[in-house]
Amino acid sequence: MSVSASSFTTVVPSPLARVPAGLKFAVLFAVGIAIYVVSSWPLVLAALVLAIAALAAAKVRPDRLLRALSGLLIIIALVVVIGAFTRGYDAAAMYGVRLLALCLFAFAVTMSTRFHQMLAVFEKLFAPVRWLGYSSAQMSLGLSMTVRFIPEIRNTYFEVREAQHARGLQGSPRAVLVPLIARTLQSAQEVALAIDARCYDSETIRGGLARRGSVARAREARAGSGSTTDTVHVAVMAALIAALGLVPPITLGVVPVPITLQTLGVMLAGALLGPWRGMLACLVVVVLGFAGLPIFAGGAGGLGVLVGPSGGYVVGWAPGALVIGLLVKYLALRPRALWLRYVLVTISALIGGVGVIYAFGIPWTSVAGGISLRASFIGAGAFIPGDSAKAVITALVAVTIHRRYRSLLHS
Amino acid sequence: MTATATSESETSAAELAPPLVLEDVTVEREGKLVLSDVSLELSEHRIAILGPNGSGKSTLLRLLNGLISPSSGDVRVGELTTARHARQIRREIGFVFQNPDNQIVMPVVCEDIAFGLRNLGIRGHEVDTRVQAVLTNLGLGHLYDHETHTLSGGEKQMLALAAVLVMEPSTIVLDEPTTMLDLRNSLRVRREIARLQQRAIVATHDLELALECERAIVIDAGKVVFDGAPDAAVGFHRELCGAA
Repeated sequence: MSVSASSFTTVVPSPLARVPAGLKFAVLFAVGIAIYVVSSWPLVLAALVLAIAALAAAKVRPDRLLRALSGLLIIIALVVVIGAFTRGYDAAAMYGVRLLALCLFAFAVTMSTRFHQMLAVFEKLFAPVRWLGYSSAQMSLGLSMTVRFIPEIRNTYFEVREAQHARGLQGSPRAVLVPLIARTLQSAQEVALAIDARCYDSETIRGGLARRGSVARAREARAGSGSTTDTVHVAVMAALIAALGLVPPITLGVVPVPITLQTLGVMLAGALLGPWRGMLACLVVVVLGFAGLPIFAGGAGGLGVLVGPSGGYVVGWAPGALVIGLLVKYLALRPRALWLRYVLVTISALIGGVGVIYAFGIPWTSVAGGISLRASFIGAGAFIPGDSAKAVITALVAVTIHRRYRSLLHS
Repeated sequence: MTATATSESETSAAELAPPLVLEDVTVEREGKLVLSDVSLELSEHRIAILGPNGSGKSTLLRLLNGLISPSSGDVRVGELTTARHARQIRREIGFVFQNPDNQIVMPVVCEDIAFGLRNLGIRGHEVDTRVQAVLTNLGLGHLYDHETHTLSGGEKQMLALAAVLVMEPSTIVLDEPTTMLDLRNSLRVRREIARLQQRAIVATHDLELALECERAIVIDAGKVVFDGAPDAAVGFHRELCGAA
């Protein structure tokens, strides 16, 4: 699978393509809220008709639609079956149609909107990150840089894995991830220098903030987190999260099912970069993914992921990384005993990476899929062994990296 | 080739740029002396910096456009010092890094070249005009909308050079620009350096590239150990490295 900017510029000219991206997103959002708040057949059927009309107006090719639908139909069938057992056939059918309508509509919006237009919408939505000392110009530099680094980090991953295979270390995720991250952080330093050398000056670019004068600048200075190096760290970590979702899932001896490494990236972001930059790295991936880049595990992307049953798990990444970052920065790395640090980082990763993310994911699945909270909870249980293994890997990697790069959390 | 004719007209352009002056510059990093008491005036059109790995070449180059500041001493460009006017000086002095992978920030070639222009506050049509012009000038026009990660090593180094040239600095600093390239690509980069109208300061292990310069400086263990004609410098450098 190749992630590239050009594979998203293939938007067919159509009536829906001419509608501003922000408006399309707003309508999708409104429809989504409405059909979940008011569960009635007329409204749900109206949404389905609207979705089909949108697909027609977007001139979506049937073969692309079928390909996109195949995975979705399985999930919807599952939702209907579970719903039929717990809430009866009529309700289950409505939940199924509701989910179908929303996913089709999201698909129509994604297919009729150029990647950079959708990106611009999200950049506006996430403008509040300037309160963390990041300007929107930095955010968009971060987004572009992430797209640029995803293929590179993916290649580095395979290179390092090959080298470790040659040393007979194929079973050790740490042996692959530590060199990968060390190399990435080293190049991040140089990349930041190169950006400065090309006259990147956040102050002159931040037109909006600079105009507001010294108050804004004083706040930025206090936040102290707006330097070029921070932007690069956010971008390369976001690229790492995306790249880990694109490499083949790994099998660990203890866990029977193969696990994808994407949420490992989320845990690492918080544990390596701390709360704010870790959270921003997750936001960057989420924004790029919702805007249409196929970077969610297994090559998913677009607004369908957001409105689908597993959307909550993705939305939970940023708060999850925030919590992990806070715990790791202020508690887990404090003790002198190395074993205790491993244990505490593992617990932090479990709290943020399982506790917080599931706290978003489980209710979301319940609402989006129309299944009971209990069923959603039991379903999530299947992922706990894999996610626990990832928390352990996070600790092994993060403690090692922090011993090598002592100032990483305090930039 | 019309090398002599062009180099005469180019020299005049280089003469316009103010010389770079290092005055008793010392750089300390983590308690280690990386450069000690270096004083130089760099005014020639082509200057090579030679020296073994870890001798302080890269540090010297990074001082020139204020990417790092000296622990003591001054680095001046005309009236400006890098310690206080790093931003203005970076507009005058472009920097090409050794590893182009670390210099390319954008996913697409034209965007990456435009990045520096936008940083200079340039907007609208002029951006694209200048991007096209620099690509054509370097014979890279066909790469305009290519994704940067698909480029070959040689193309990446040429892109890195284009991205700096488009900003029209009066001096270009290059850190081992041919080290990672095969013979064909290193010849191509050398040819472009020879064509530059601007002053070029090149740190290199490529002795042939050094011989094409007007002046060569040899650095060892943080000190200037030779400064003069390239052929003598190359001989000195060979001896220093135990190859003579």
